[in-house]
Amino acid sequence: MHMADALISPAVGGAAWVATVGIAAYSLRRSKADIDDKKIPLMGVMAAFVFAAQMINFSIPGTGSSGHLGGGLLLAAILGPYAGFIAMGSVLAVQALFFADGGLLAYGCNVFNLGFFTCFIAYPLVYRKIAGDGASKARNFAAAMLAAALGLQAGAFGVVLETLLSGKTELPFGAFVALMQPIHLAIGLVEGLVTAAVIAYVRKVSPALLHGYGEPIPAGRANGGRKVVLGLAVAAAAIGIFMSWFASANPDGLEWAMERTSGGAELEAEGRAHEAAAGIQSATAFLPDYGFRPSSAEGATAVTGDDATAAQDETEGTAEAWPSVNAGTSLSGVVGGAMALGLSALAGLAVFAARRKGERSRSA
Amino acid sequence: MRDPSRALAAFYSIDALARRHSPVHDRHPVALCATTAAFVVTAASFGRRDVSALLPLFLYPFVTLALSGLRPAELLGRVVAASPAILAIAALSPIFERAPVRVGPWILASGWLSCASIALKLALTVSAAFLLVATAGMGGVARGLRAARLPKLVVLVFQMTYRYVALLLSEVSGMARAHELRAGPRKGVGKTLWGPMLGGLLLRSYDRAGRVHDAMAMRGFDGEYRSGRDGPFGGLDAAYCTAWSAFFAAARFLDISGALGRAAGFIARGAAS
Repeated sequence: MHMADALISPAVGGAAWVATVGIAAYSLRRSKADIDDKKIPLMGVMAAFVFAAQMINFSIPGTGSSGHLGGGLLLAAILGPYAGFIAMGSVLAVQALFFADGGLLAYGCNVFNLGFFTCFIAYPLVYRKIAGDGASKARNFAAAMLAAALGLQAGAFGVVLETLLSGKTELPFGAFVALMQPIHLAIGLVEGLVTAAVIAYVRKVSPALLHGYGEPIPAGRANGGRKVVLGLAVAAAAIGIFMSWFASANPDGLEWAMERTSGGAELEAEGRAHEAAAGIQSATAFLPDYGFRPSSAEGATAVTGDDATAAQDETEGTAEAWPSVNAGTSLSGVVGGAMALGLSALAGLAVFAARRKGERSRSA
Repeated sequence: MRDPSRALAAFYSIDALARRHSPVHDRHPVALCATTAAFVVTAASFGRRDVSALLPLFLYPFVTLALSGLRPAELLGRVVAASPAILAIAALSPIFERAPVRVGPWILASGWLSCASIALKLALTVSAAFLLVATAGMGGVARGLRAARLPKLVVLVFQMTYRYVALLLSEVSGMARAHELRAGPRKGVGKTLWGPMLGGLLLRSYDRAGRVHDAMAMRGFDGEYRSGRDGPFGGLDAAYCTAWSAFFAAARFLDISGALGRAAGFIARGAAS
């Protein structure tokens, strides 16, 4: 469930960061009134608890995959949605930094997927509506199961959308959804069971803990301006996601169309695809958008403009249509990349050797 | 779980790495945080099939590793531990992106480029996160966050999440032992006990965390950790940050790999003729 930086584009990651920071700022304002010396250690313990729960992977029968709990609903139920969201943010920060589980750029996406849907959708709209005053055990159980499943389904769908918007992989939407949702349904059921069991026990043994903190502050106690903050955060997220669609999806859409046309009706499509590719190349001529991009400034094996376009097309996945590409240009990319890696390693070794020498001369 | 001291040692070993001194460790945490952020954004901004253009970025982890005196095995272990789930997604690329691409003398499905690109980005970004915590440490990261004007409460909860794991694990070991002594020949915790055990763990940990918090408050703790390494942001820190950022920008906007390859080709042809 934790997204990594490798699969995310800066536009989507940045938009999710903005949304998450906005929601966190709003949560902080809303929860400030009831955060006291008793609640701060409770937030720490709950966050550490969810952190530990996320570290434990259990296998999902019949799928061959494994999953771990999200814990957002438990945080919301015990800390309240606002403090719960902040605690989820700190859990995921420690996960990202110390376990590389979820990336730094993807941090906003992860907090949004695991925290927003559970604390602000599943908890108030499902859990509290069904659980009511919490007197009925059966209702509590049903509320936890449903809310946990719903929260994780929404989060998993968020992962799918954010990954596809980032355009770093070409997984078809349907296949990705069919992969993510059922697995997270299974995880959601386990999460519901654990959440229900823990809440039931806490309610029995120390009900003050739930009643003191799980209840959200009545809306009257927060001033109306704060609703504006949430509105702004949601608007920022919507704008960010909308913008990122244009930032990353448009060229991809072209590329996709181009690949489809070149793969389909070869001869007729060639001219159009060629034009589209030339358009892309002229737009991205100064950006190394593709690692194996050729350069028209090639010395002895100078490529003509047409060849450069063809070579560009080749990296777009249409090599068969233009077999005339100069292999040397692509080769220079491969060789240069290997050299860059080798030189980087050499630089590292040289620094290491220099440091060791310095240490020896100091100790001598 | 049986031996929490080992689990704890592994968990907090990264923080121990940050207590050393080196040209990187001695930089202001704000400089380290800013450099890491710039690096991660740069790496993520490369296109879906960029492979060779990403490779110059490896200069950053390699040189930082050498400068900080950290062992490559520590970094490698981290990258390997983080990879399976992401690589599973990356491995699907060659299935869905079948258009052929010529790479040098070889012809591959373009999905292989996507796959390689994701794997490289994963290695780069995971390395950057590891190098940040292994040089700045938890305290340094928290200072960086405070310097970025994050509220005291958020940074405090962030630090407590990390530190209270020790508290939680010690409660786990106490409860596991108590259960073992009372369970007789039975093995494992029965399903009916899961709720009470987890709930009990929470309540016990909360009680203890409350005592810890009270004890700290009585000693004057106001939510700010003072590490004693709070030097000012100096010229060296600014230079460190600027130099790396300039390199990242160069790697992003100039075709370093292509230039190197062409230079190599030119020299090879010169030698041949």
